[in-house]
Amino acid sequence: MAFDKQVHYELAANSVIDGNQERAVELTQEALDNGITAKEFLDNGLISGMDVVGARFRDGDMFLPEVLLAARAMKAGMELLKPELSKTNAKSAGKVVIGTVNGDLHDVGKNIVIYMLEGAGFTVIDLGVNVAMETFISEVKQHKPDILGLSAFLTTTMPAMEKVIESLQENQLRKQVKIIVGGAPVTECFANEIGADAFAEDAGTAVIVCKKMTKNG
Amino acid sequence: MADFAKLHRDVLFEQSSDQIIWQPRILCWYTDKKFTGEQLPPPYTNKSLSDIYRALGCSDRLYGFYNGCFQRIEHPSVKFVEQPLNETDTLTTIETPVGNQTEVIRRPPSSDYLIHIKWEVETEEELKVATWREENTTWTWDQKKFEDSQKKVGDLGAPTMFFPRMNVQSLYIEKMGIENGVFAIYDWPDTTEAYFSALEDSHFRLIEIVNTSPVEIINFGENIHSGTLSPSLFVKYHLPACQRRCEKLHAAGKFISSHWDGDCKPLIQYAKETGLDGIEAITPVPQGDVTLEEIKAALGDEMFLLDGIPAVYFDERYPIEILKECAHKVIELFAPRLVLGISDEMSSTGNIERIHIVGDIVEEYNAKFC
Repeated sequence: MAFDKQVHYELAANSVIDGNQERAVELTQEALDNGITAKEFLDNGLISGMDVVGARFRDGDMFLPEVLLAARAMKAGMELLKPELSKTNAKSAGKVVIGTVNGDLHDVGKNIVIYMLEGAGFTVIDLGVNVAMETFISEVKQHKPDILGLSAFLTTTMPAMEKVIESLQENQLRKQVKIIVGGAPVTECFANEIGADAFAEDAGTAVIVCKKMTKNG
Repeated sequence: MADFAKLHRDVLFEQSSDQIIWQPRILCWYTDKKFTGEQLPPPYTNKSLSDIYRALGCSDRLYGFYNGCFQRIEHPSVKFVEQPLNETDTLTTIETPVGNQTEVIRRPPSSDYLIHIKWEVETEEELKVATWREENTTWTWDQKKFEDSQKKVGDLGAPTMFFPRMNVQSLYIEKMGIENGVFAIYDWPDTTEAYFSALEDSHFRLIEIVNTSPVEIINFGENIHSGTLSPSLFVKYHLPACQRRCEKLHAAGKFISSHWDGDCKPLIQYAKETGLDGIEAITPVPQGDVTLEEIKAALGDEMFLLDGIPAVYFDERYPIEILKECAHKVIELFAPRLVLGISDEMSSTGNIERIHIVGDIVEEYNAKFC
């Protein structure tokens, strides 16, 4: 039977949606063996599947466990594509540095955002939790990201977001990076008050907002 | 001062002549301020938590005092060997006859909470060790600790205990972390279910002790959040385990609630099927994802709500009128099956004086039934 690219993309997307890691790897290898370029397969197969996951997650039709499995399947496929992608200098959707602010140890929400961003083709540098203000500054200096993501889960740690933004201004770095904030107690109003560029209520929205900020949306 | 222990019990066992009780949880507010060295505002400066409750004129939910009365005993061959790795990290090796587990915990200087650098279970082999440990766990009751606790806090609330987490929540919160836990459930279903089964048997042994103890109020300290405990996992694992536990505890006349402190909109439809008498810490909008009306529809007239006022309303960024309006509405919808409290706990950014405001509302309401 002839190799049908469209059917193959659809199968790959479904393997991601179903969180079937082994199937995603198998389909990725088959795609490469049949001469599909890594970029083409990534965009039309794996990322296309992750887009569906993002939309379902945003709509409350999919939950974190399923998202984690989908992201793992996508990553497993990506590992096979990486050597090809680096050879062709395929362009990332954008670079994001992200972390949970000082004093806050919550990482689940941030990690979901990372999975979804990576699934959408962003390069993400995860600074982890309880990240000191100085670390955000030095990482922005070092990586020159398009976007800085700040996460807080507690009302007590939200003010640390404002301090990071102030410090970026003091270090003349504010204009070179867009800032998105999020986390359970964070609101759009708060984001505006502290001078962030954007707020996302959930991980799916974060991806849409990041795409817009990097003009990929 | 009122006998809150009696009122607490009377409310839950429906002997309060329709009175309710105000039980704000302020432990986070207290411990965060203590950790950062911030002085408590007068007249609470230098007071213990119990004395703050007395000064506030309200009841405390006394898990912290009575939890220790039920002690978990590991098999005698299990050894815990601790080794500091640096100023903040400690490696613990748990040695058992069927293999070892290792755990690395970080105590960051900027927070009172601990970070798992390496969870106790990260491999299938370590999960099998965890299963063996549960199979060989027994439980005892410490009567002296119970009596000491009663002496310390007896009038502030009825004896209450947190029951250990069941299956998926145990895996997520105590053993593996959420990401590893999710992958374990899907990658090693047999090993994971063997752990769940051993855990349940261990908890049934605990129930035998609980049922002969004088502690009548049991809370499943589950920390349910629908974001991580998806409806499919809830229905497959959590719901039936919850029903089996409730059946055994109800046989001894216990009051049972469970702690659902995350988002719960997709799960709240199952509330009446759980076998629980009430649910604690459900957080309404704007902090949580359900309205008070949705909570009422799910709990009906039979189940209790414990808490109900979003913690953010104790912060000054919300006008006092909103707090008052919310307190009145919770009472209107849920009384008398109500232990009014804060969902989930007042943050250290909260204003402690707002506790009085709700206390006055409850006092005024209860006066109608004197």
